[in-house]
Amino acid sequence: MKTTRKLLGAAMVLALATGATACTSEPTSTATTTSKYPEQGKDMTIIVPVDAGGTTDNVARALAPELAKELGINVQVLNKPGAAQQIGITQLAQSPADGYTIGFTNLPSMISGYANPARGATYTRESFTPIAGVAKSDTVVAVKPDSGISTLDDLISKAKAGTTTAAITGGALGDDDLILRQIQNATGTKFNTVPFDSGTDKMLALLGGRVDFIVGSIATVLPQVQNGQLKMVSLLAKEKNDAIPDVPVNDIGVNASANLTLSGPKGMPADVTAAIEKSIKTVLDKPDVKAAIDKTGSQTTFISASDTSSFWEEGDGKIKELISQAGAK
Amino acid sequence: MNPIDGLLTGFATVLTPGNLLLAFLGCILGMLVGILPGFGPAAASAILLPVTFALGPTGAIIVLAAILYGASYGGTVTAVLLNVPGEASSVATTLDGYQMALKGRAGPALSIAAMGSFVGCIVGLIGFVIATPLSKFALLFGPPELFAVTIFGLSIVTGLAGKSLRKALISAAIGLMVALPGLDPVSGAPRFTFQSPELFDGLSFVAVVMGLFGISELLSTIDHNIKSGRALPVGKILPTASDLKRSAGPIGRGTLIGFAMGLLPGSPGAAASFLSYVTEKRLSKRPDEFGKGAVEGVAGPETTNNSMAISGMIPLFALGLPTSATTAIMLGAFTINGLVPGPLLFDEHPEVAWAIIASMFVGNVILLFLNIPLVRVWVLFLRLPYPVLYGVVLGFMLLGAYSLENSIFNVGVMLAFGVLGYLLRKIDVPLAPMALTIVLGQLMERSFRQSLAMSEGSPTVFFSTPLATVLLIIALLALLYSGIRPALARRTRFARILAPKSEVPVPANISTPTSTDRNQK
Amino acid sequence: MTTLIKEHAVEQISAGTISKGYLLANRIGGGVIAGIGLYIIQQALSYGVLRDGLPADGFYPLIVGSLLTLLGLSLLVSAKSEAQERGEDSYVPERSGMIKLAISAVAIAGFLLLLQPVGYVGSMVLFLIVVLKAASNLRILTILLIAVGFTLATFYGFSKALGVPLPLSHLIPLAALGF
Repeated sequence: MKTTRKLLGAAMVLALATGATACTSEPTSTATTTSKYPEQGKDMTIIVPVDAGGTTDNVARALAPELAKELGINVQVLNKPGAAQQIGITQLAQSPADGYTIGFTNLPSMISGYANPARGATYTRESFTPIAGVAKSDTVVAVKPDSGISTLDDLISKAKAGTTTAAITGGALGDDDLILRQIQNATGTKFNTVPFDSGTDKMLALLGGRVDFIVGSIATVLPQVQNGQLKMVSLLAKEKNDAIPDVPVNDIGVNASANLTLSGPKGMPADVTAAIEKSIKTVLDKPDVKAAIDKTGSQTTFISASDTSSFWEEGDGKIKELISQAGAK
Repeated sequence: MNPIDGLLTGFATVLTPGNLLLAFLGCILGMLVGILPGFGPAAASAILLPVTFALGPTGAIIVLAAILYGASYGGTVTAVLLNVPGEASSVATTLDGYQMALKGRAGPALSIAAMGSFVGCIVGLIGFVIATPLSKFALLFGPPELFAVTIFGLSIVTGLAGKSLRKALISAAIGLMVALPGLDPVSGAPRFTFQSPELFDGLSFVAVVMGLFGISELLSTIDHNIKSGRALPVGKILPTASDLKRSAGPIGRGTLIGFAMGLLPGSPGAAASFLSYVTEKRLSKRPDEFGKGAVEGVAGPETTNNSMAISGMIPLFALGLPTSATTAIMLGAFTINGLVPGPLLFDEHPEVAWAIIASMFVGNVILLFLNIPLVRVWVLFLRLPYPVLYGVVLGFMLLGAYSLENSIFNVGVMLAFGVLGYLLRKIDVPLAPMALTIVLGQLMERSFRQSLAMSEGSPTVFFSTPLATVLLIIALLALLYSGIRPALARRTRFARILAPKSEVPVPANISTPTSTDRNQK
Repeated sequence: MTTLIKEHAVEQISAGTISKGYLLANRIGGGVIAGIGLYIIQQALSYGVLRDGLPADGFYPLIVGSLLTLLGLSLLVSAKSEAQERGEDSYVPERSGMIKLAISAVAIAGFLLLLQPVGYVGSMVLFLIVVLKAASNLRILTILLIAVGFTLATFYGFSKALGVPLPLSHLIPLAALGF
């Protein structure tokens, strides 16, 4: 008897609570468009679509306190890892476009998420309002010092002569695979690829001599290069990188530079976007912020909203083409 | 600098008030995050990373390392008291640790775990100091070698069986199934993801085992009439002489198993501690006590965890390669401070490298002296009326599962596996084999297909190096043996039953818990 | 009530005798596992088992599905002999316990639904009140104290000390308090 009454009581409490939220939650979520930005007492959340501790996360955490000072409101970092950034980016796309939720949409890696139909992403280029690029990260080709490969040409001719294997992360049509496909298209070669699930496993495969080369960001290969376990043979960028002046820029026209980019959901008011963009520029000009970001292995580079937008369009076209080529085969 | 000189200068750096305080704080924090189910050392150290900017490289790594090994002490507490594995590596501890707690032997279980952890860490550290050249070991393990290791891992399944071998195999098969959802490791196409991107990376192992062991235990306790409390006898805190004697062997072997497994790239913590558990069970003269509160079943896996936490740092220090989430964050702390982990570190910044190693010796001594008295505090939880414990632990687990990836999805995963675990327990399907094969399943398929991708399809790749060949042969023999063994055991058991006075002997000091015990309150 | 428990207990101890409910549970378990195995086989075939002579996406799932099907069927067939070896967890839950489980399930569902709109603090307090009220015979004041104390401690611990942002409330009164 007593338990039945308890059950009823519990059900009533729940029903009341649900009813109460239904009444009150709606006005708060829509009443944000009129007031000026940033409104005191509100918090900004930066969605980081990868695990805590990675490059993007480190950059976000270096940026957040300074951005808070600049905007005069609290700035929180929210890690939403999973599905190669897709979980966090989906949440960003679905957030209210009021300037209080922004997030990292790293280019071009986030493009392959929606350009590949197999992944069933619910967002596209149009789902976001680019705000600014904060850092640039270049990609290099790395081999073992005793591999007999010392230039990109060596690698290409080795690939033309026989099987040449690369370790990749991200699987087929992931970041590494798409970069390799650009090299293949530019040179008419074909690489054999072995997919790994972490950067460490990829590195072990190369150091252990199981594969011939890898492509990766400078930050990921630098420790091994400095220890003399690896060497970089080619920079896959448009121009030289001051951090590694000795590594030649590739002469086959492949540009695999990545930008750490902040965006908001689509339809963000232009004045809000401009206000955040301006604060980011101010913050990135501070020497200690710049130093903190540079130490993560990428180069602090402010890229305006409009430049980010065109970089996005360019990557969008390039990656969609690579993916449709792969599908046609 | 030779190791002895290095260590001496290291100790000189560490035994300053500032660095001691950092080690102490790191240990406390590590223990606390170890106790919180779900919220692990990786998340804690990631959040602390910006704070450590200010500490400089030595201070930063001292704190982060302390969090890592401190957490492996703390993870034991909920595993023993509540059957909730707070981290992947404490799943095996729940099997006998919780049974000991039910018998009022939570104190000895936790004390033994602390001692085992201490020995595991200290011996691991000595190995660290003398065996840094061994780090090249990790490079010997490519996909074909790892595939052989996972096959060997499968041979552990039968050791985790209860009364019925068939049900253990069913559990193992369900585990392989649980590891299926996700993106195909080679083609990248989604499999068994039901159109939800949350499943692209597969199910979170920690959420799954929190549900499978923790939630299912809560449900099985509350489903009969417990109103006022379970009034478990708290009993003595310190282990008896016989506990210590019985634990010595498992601690020694656990250290070796953990140390070796920590050197392997991508070696999953849960598999190593299960390996230790089954090794002890098979070596024991009293295998029947396992699963009913055998102290060896706590001592072995707990030592393994901690020894592995230490040797897992060797690839980072020696090769600059992080093999776990936490060591990845330590790598971040190095680079942010302008240091490069790897052989160069010992050449260019020996004072930093040796100070960190010395700090781990000191930290473990701190943890031992902290943990033994704290056991008294932890067992007080058992005095709480069970209904209160039930509500609060459920609340903690909801929060912990949420904090794994800041997502409600993992809360759902934990609950679903709680219900699955509850139902499977009702038909006596053991849950441990499932936990093991969830870990092995993914690794097995990946390494298998990576191997074939390396050789462009030729199966000779599995015998392409001497190590791969030897490992595969050992693995196949182990698998064969584990298949034959239960049949042999069954025969001897039938023989015993047929013989006059065929009761299975139960030692006087261990009483088998039946549901009558549990229903009495 | 006590007699009920005793009878129940007697049923537990006498291992070796076959309980009909347990036998049925084993058969259902076997059937469901075999069914899931068949589903996995069917999916695996649709993913493709071999491609260019290499194992493809469905290769490994096919093995797992076949294993599940075989083992499920084997449990279905031999449920009777399996039912002779019962363990300690296979007792039948009591009615009062089932009611507590049901309330817990409702409370958890409520917590999950309310977490985003009401925020962590509101939904956790509510959840604990419901669960503690159902599971214990503590006074409501004690329950309130435990619920509010636990929630505030974890809220501040996680969102301030550990830096894990917990969902905040969209309800005006709660949001005004910073929850």
